[in-house]
Amino acid sequence: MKGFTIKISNISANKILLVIFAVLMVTIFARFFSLLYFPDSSKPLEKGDPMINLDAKETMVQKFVANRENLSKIEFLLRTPGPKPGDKVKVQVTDENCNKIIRTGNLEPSFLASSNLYVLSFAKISDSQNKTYCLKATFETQKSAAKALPFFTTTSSDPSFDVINITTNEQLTGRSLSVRGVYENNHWLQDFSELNQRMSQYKPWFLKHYFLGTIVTLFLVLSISLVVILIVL
Amino acid sequence: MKNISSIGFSKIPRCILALILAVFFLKGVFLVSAFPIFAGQDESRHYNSIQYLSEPKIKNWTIIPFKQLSKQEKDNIETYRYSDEIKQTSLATNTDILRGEEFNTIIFSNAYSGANENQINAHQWDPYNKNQYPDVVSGSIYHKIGSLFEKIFSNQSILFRFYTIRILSVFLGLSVIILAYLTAINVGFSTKNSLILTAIISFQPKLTTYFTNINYDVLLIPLFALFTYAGILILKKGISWKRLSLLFFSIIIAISTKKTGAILLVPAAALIISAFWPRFKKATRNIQYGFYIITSILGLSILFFLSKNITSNVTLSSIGDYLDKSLSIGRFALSSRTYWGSLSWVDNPVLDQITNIIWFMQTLAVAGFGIFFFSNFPKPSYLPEKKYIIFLIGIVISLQLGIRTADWIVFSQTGSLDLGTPGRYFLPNIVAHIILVFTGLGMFFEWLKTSKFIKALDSRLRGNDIGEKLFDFSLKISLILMMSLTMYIIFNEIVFRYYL
Repeated sequence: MKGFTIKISNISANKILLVIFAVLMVTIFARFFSLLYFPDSSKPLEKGDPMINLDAKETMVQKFVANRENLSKIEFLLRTPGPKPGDKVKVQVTDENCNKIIRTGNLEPSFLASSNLYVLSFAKISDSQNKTYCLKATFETQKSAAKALPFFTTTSSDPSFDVINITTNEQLTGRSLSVRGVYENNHWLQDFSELNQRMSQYKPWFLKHYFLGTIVTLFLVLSISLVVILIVL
Repeated sequence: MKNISSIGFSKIPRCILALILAVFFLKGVFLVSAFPIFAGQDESRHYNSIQYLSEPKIKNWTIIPFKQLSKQEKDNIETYRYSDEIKQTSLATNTDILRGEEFNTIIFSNAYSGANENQINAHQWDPYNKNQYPDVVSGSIYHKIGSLFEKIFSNQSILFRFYTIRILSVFLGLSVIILAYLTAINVGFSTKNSLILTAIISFQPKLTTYFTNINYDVLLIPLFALFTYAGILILKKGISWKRLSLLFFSIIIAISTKKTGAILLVPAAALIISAFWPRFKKATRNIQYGFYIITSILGLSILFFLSKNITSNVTLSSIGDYLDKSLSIGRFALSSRTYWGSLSWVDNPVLDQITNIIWFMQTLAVAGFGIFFFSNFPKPSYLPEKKYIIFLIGIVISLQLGIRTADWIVFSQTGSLDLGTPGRYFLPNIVAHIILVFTGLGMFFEWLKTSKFIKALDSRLRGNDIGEKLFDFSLKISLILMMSLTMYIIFNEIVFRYYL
């Protein structure tokens, strides 16, 4: 009876630990899967001057070209402190002529701990490759004395891509918003393949492609096995 | 009735240790790849030191005098006093873009090779420093070892050489894991608990990431672990030439690696005196003289080291100012966060609380030590004896005092906390630290079982040792949490930051 009670308590404790471990692993890797989006790295965001200020209830427009399919997010660069609680920047993704609304949403702070990076997320636009879109951003606030939101800009060589405040008719000549498209793949296997590709660059041959894939797979399998073994034994 | 699992377990500890080592190695190699080139702590400087040592003795190229150099910015590798190869490689790999802002990555191509990778692999840049006063760390045995690899693979591209030396760091990390296990076993933990403690150490996030960088600390930390192990052996089995040699070997190589190693002289002196004392009283006069000589050598070494490193600019009166500025909650919190590897690269409120949870556990451990040392509460058999704990506490205190003394010396000379006390400076004590925390927790749980609630629970479990069960549970839950924290940091911080 004593041994049976000991065994019961051992099994219960180990089961609880295994459940906790499983929940944590699922949570962590579910979070990782949710991060598998690919910003356009060819366009590093820059904190360029002059900035364009967006006052309360004003709207600005910016043309933007997506360079691949499955456009899912657009990143914006704002100067700190950004929109205050209760304020929001509503962004519409429209056609090239800034007429037909394709997607809409609000800017949210990025998961990256950057006080400047804000993200507009939306359902992917599958056929976005080489298409020009118009981004319409409106600063919505309930506060009468809200400060203007400054957006960083970057050099623009094409006047049709200059940022324009359509409320005040102010066009910042030779400047466009510091924005960047973020894309996803159609399947998670393609996501892993692209991530492997990115991680393989500027590495020696033994840390590329299949070698890298093998290392990380073995690492995950063995580390999870190790913890399970140490829990149950 | 014997616990069936413990019988089975006792037959496979080597397999489990091998698994821990394999996981540490694979994790390390994966992280070696995940960190872009020159992204590690002071890595460009340490790698430049290795390249500098690998240069031909006769420098038959033009050295640009320091006065003729354009403005030097350490954060801008391309302009700094590094080798041509490092500067050109950093340009080719967009290191400036990566390091410029946290929201930018390098510019990726649509292939498994970077856009400029062929140019890098063409090996056309000189791995030589062509500026006067190159930024190098001098006098460390670590860089001499690194330069051996640099020379062996001199016909390979910088990518091959650089990442190979990073993998050398992973191998050095393996030695810490092995020594952690040996130390845990020899202080008296069971095989199972020793393996779990070793696994916990192997998953410590800062240790994990640090042993993927090119930095002389990756040699210092194993030497501290070796010193700890040698000290434990001396306490357990007594003085012998073999154990003394191990002890002094670790001290000499640690000092040859980094000045921090000199801190080990203090606990070494205390250990040898305490080990010799019983014999000393009974010894012949010759042996007593021999003991005086050894003690004098140790004492003179400490004084010599202090005199070399404390200049006339240092004043005792600056201690007050120093303590006022350095002993703040903010600085402790920063030190703690960086020790545990909190990168703060992502916006996660749970992660921000990790160090608070750890400090709570450590507070319980300190309470446990209070019970351990200042009460008549019996020590359970599954925890180490007092002499080992005193030795481990001594090493921890020595390193704390040593780092803070060095910080004070710099403060006294410059007036500001230029050196600081970042958490990584305290990593050499990781083995002692983890063993101490769990020993303290174990004592706390033993005391806790005297509480009414626990007694009631214990009686329902019909005599099962609840104190040991709580200790066992704490080890396993800590392992789960440590592993989870590291996984989160690897995938949702490091990989996210550099590639997504």
